[in-house]
Order: sequence, then structure tokens, then C-alpha cells
Amino acid sequence: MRRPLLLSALTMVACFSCGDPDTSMIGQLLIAPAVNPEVGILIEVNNLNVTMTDETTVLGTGNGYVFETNNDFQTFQIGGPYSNDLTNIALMTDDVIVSYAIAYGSYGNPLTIARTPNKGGSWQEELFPPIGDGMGSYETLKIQFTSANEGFLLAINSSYSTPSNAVVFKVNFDQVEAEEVGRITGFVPAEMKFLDANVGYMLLHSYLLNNNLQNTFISKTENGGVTWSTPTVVSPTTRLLLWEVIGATQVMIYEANSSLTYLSTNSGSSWTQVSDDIHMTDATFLDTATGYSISLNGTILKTINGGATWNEVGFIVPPNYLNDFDKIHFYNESTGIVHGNNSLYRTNDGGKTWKILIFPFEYVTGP
Amino acid sequence: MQKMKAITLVLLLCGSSALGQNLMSFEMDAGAALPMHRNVSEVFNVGLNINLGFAFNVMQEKLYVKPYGGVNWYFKEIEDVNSVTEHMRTWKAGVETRYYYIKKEKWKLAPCLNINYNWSTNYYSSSSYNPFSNQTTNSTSDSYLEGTGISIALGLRVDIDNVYIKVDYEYFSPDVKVHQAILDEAASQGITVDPNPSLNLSSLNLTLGYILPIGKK
Repeated sequence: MRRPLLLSALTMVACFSCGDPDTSMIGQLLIAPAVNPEVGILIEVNNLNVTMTDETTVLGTGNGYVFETNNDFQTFQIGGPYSNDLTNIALMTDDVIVSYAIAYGSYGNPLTIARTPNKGGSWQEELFPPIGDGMGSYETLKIQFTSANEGFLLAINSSYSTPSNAVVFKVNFDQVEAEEVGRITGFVPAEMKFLDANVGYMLLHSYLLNNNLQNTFISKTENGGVTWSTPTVVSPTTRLLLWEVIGATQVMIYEANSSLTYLSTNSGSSWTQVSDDIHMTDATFLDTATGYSISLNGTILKTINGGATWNEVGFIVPPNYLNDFDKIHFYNESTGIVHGNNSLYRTNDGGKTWKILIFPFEYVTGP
Repeated sequence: MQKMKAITLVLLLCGSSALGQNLMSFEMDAGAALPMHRNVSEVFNVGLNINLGFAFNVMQEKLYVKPYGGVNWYFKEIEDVNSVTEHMRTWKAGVETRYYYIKKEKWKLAPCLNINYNWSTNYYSSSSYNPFSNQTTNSTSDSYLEGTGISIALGLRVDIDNVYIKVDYEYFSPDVKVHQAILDEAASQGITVDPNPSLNLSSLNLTLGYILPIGKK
């Protein structure tokens, strides 16, 4: 009598042991979004441009907005968006941001440059006269501001009959003026970086016979772009496009896929090839000795001898396993950021571990 | 090692007392475990509770100590196809102490205190039938949540002859370890999950038991 009673009870319990099939114990775990869903407004298009202005503050531009956060995007302020279709946004100083439109094409297109003194709150837009002397076409490649008002513009001047020239203009925003200050004839410019108002370098390529621009040259100015040194060859057979001006005499030029990295400590007069298998896609230096780089596979590397040797300090594995980082910046030896492919990461331990601040998860960008 | 010493001590105590009363019994009970916290109650309505142990008369048929083992087992079918079932299972080993302070002719009443060590796991099972080979294949997943810890239960028990009914509230809130695959999958979707969260697995247990006397008075 009693045993059937026990069996009945067991059967009853077994029958009633059920629950909502749409719930699970895993679903009871406390979860939180890895990034603030509101950052989606910044990543509509892949144009994040970010820097750190102090140990905690991240300042940047994205999707036409200027943004700033000092708590890893738990909250952030945005200015803008800037309504005009400007093709490039750059940080002029910590507080002043400049944006400019590149006049593609030729024959005297005007150049629009806009400046915001209040992190995107308002923009001052100026329409510059067409650059150049009317001889051939002028295409703006880059503008670098060395102060809140003045900077340098690099343009390629080309025509059907003569080899290309690299032309440097000095830009004065307040006077709405872009005046040619110097040029390097017979070379195709690729990049230009000024350390200050006087010292700068230019990365160049040349139309060599049967070479199809598969070469790399460098030139230096010490007088604000007025005169440039005779371009010296870095590689006669490889077109290198990535570089870092480490100091007044130190330059590193590299290429991610082939893992070629060249270092000069005498303003480009001679070059040494750094060890292989670095595959760096960007590098940043705190001073002439200490620097960081990120490689194609997300590895973070550190140098303490001006780029001569590099050691792995950490790595980033994106949630989608797509390593596509194109910028790294360190504020000091602890704090730095990496961004690219609509994502932004931050480290507080010298690159060992990285926290996602911006990433195009579905709940961020929408389905 | 200390746990073994404690269990041995309890058994020795029971043995020495039992010399006078000569009373030991095998007890088995089974019944329902009702989850008392939404951690479990939102997932399972009710679970199975089964316990087996040897009860020792420690003091004049009033105070009993029962080393025992048991299981709290919640399960539910989440897919008809292949009978995919989610399980939340807790094996337990512990000691029950009870004191009969009311004794009547046919029945007696005792408050009970249970202290258990528990091993909890959350997993899935499925069974698929192959009509060609006429075979059923059962499989279980990895443990997605695993946790261990001590639980404490307080309850009342009514004995009627060799049958008893017991109700107790068992507090059990272990820190569980989340399977790395869950953490990785969440991370790929931009979700952070605490890898060692605390889950409240407390339950109200209602069981019907049977006493099988082994020793004689």
C-alpha cells in the first residue's frame, strides 16, 4: 500500500517537472552590453579618428560628430554633426578640430576647410581659393595643422606632359589663404608629416622605368616646407606607404603585408631593415625611444629603442575575429587606444589587456 | 579529510548510543522541490527531490542523526524533436539532525536541520531514435553552469508508523562557473557575462518517506 504511494508521488513529480521552454538557466545570468549602444551614432561610416587628451579622456570624430568621453563611453558628449560633406576630419589641437574637403579632380576646384573651437558645437567654414598656379591639376592629399590657425597642405601637381610634382602650401585659416611655399619636382607625393612649424618629412614615389611606382623615397625640410632635401631612396623596389616620424632625425617606414620595416636615425640618409615578421599596420611613439605598434593579426608590440627591436606585449581579438586595425595611439606607457574597422579599444595596462569601447554589434548599429 | 573525520565521529556517537537503544533505520524519501528564487522558478516549475540515508538513534529515540545523500533535479523538455531537455541537477551529501519533541500513539513530530555539501550542474540532454537501426541514442551536453557549496535546510517532519512526510526550506546560493563557450558566444555578440555569478538555488522541499528499521530495540 505504501510503496505504490511512493511510486505515485514520484510519478506525479516527474510529470510536473516542467517549465517555460523559452527560459533557461543560462538566461538567468546577469548580462550587460559590452559597449554603450548609443555609440552607434558615431559609426555609421568607417571614419573614426580618435586620440587621447589625458589619461582618461578620449576625443575623436566619427560620422561627422565630435565626441568626447572620460569614462569609457558610459556617457559621452557629442557635437554636430557637421552638415557639409567634408571628407576628412582631423584634430588640430586638443580642443580645436579641423575638417576639410579634398578637392578631387583638377583645374581649380575650391577647397573648403571648416574649424570648430568647441568640439563640434559650431563650425566656422571657409572657402579657400583654388590652389596652384593653373599649370596642370592640383589634387589635395593631406592637410596637417601645426597650430589652431596654421598648417601645411600637400598636393600632387600633375599634367600629361611632365612628371608629377609634390607641392606644399602653407595654410592660414584666419586669412583664408593657402600659399605655395615649396615643391619637389618629378616625384609623386604620398604622405607628409611635420613635427613642428619647421621640421617635416615627405614620403614620395617616382616613375622609374618599368617600376610602376614600386619604390619609396623620403625628403626632409627644416624651414617650414620652403626647401626640401634631395629625395633619398628607402626601397628601390617596394612601394611603402606607412611611416612614423619618430623624431627630428628618426623615421620609420613600413609595410604590413610584406613585413618590411626600415629605420633611419640620420634624417633618411641611410636605412636599416628591422627584423621580419612584425607586420605592423600602425605605430605611435611617446618619445624617440618608446613606441607601440599594432600588427595585422592584432598583436600589440612595444619598442624601447626607437623601433630597432619590438616585443609583444598583448593582443586584441575582435568579437568578429576580423583584425582590421589601422590606428594606435598611446598617451603614456599605461594608457592607449587602438581603432579601425568601426571599432575602438582601450588599454590601461600598457597593452596587455584591451576593453572594447566602440564596436558595431547588432544592438549598436541595428539589424 | 576533515569531512570524513566528522562523519566518522557522528557514526561512532550513533553507534555508542545505539548500544542502549539498538535502533538504526534506512530511510528513503522522495517528492517535490519547489524553487524559491526566480533564478530557478522562472525556468522550472518544480523538481524532483530524492534522499537516501541511515538514521541513527542518538538519544532515547528523540534525537536522530542521519548521514544521507540525495539529489534535487529540475528538468524540462524544451523541444519535442529528439526530446531535448534542460537539467539543473544538484547532488548532495550531508547530515540531518532531528529531534522528536511531540510523540503521540500513532505519530510523532520533529524539527529537522540539514547541512549538505552540494554539486550542481546545468546541462542538456537529447535522445534520438533511428528507425532503420531501431536504436535510440542518448547524449548530454557539457555542463554550462557548475557550482559547489554548502546548503542549510530547516524543516518539520511528521512520522506515522513507518511513513513520514517532511517539509523543509533549503537555502543554497553557490557561486557557479559559466562554461567558456557561453562566455565566448556572449562576447561575440557584445554581451559581457559574469564568469562566476552567484545563483540562488534555494527550494522548498516536500517529500514522502519510508522507514525501514534495521536494528531492534
